Amino acid sequence: MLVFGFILLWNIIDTILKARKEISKGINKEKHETSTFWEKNEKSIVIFVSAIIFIYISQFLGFWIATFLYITFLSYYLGIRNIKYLIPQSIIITAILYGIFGLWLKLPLPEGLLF
Amino acid sequence: MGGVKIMEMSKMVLEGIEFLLALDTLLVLLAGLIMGIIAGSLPGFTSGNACAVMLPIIIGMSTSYAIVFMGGVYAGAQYGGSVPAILFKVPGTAQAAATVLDGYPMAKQGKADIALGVSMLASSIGTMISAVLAIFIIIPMARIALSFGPAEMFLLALMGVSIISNVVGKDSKKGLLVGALGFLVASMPADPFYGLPRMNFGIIELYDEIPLIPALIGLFAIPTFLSLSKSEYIIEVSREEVKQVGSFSRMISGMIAAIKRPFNILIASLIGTIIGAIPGTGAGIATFISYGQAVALSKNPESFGKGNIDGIIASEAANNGVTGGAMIPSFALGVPGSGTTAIMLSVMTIQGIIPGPHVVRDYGPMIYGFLITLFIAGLLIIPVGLIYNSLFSKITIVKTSSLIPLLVVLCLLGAFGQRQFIFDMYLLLIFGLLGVLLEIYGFPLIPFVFGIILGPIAEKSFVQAISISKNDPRIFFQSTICKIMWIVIFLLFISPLLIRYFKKIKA
Repeated sequence: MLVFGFILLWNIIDTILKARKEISKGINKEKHETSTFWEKNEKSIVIFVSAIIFIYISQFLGFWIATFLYITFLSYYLGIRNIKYLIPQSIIITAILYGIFGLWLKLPLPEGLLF
Repeated sequence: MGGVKIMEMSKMVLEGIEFLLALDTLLVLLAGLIMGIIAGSLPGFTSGNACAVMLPIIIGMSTSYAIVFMGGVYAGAQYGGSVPAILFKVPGTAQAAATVLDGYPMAKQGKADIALGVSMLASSIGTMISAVLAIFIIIPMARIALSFGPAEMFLLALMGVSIISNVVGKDSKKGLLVGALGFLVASMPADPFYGLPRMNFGIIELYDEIPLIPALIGLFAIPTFLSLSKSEYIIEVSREEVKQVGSFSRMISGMIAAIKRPFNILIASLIGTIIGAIPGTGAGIATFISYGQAVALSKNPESFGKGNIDGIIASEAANNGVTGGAMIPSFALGVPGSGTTAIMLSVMTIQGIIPGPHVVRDYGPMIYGFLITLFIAGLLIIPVGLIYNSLFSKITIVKTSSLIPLLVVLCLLGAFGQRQFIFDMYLLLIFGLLGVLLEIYGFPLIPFVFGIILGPIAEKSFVQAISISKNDPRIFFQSTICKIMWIVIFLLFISPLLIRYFKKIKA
């Protein structure tokens, strides 16, 4: 048992040291090109943060209205700029999801004032 | 004795066929297969995260439908990965990487349809052979495993995590660390014996359990579509190139060319099944071992890499052979054989079937029915593949900007569905962030999932064993099986050091 413990401990220490080196390398790189971190990860961060806001808002507005707004926002942000295409697409996706999860599986999702 | 076993098994198989004959089972299988082929042919999607995204729907099904559906997805995705690998040199899944070696040169020579036909037939037969082998191996293996006491179960869980940590990824230490992190996360909820709260950060939702579904979706799905958001279309290729593909007659001639090499298909499927049955090894390794084997056995090895049909057969039959192989440890021992079977076992857990050797005894007909549907999934790959390849050009038009919002909402719904807590949606995002960070720093994800699933089993059997022996740790070394498992675990821990040592000597 002790032997296993030592091997594992040694492995962990070694990995942490290596990871530190990698991280410090990464930080040095970022210092040289400070603007690129946001440019590279802008879409990921927006998707992530907007998802948090979506969950929070859905508790006041109701899940399905929030879903509609969220899908519209995210599709617009990711590049669908034609409103004639954007709004019907969001409505159809929301309707299909509502059909499956609201009507068929009857999930008790958060409800808002209206819906 | 042997006669009794065969009688018992054939009875279970017959009951399995009865379960299967219901038309809706076949429809569920077909739906899973189609979803799997689509997911597999989209770069970035594997059978694992395709199942993760569809979990909200899967949980709504009964257990038998759920595993049949996921089996279909699994078999389909293993095949689907070969389509973009042959056409655009972009393997749809990591498992199809070896298909590129010979598939893409064939496509360049204008024989894309023939290559597609070859991969279709090889995948189909690979799946069928592995399903049949799984049917014959699971019962004897589960019979041995049924004699396992808590000490052996604890070691089995420990061994599962050690194996996967050493096999997945480039650095086995990173794998071990992530596996240990999985154990740590699994021990966050309250102590199962005394109910004492542990690391729940004062959050009441974490007192009871770490919900598996949000964790799995977060880890598998979120990193995928965050990286998907960087490109405009799902598959970045020129539209002209795709339109020429999809001639039925040429695909069928490819199949006929493949069926004339039954020996190669058989060998590759066997390699896939055996390697798939080792927990965690997965199809990536199986395909390359099988490819190497095909080169070694071939009469003219220099033709490989330039469009040799045998190369495609070796890769595709092996990666579909893994599907049946991965079911063997999952159902016989309760140790998942791959990412997809890990999700399968967690769905079974949620529906009240605790994975372990007793699953085959208690739910035999369901398991056998499932393995037979896997066999039929193999058969169905050919017609579905023929139709799919002729429609493939239309799928490349889908823009990521319409797909990602739908996927995000689906994932959130899935996280909410298991326990209906708003908190679980946030938990999904936390696990997603963890998954992204792990991927950025090159840590493999699968050991973490194994840790979460096997952690509770390990903990429960450890406490049971220790209380049986009245706090005497010698119980973990008493039986022969225990000793063998300790040796395997020890070798696994030592192996990276040994490999490094030998490399030094060589250099």
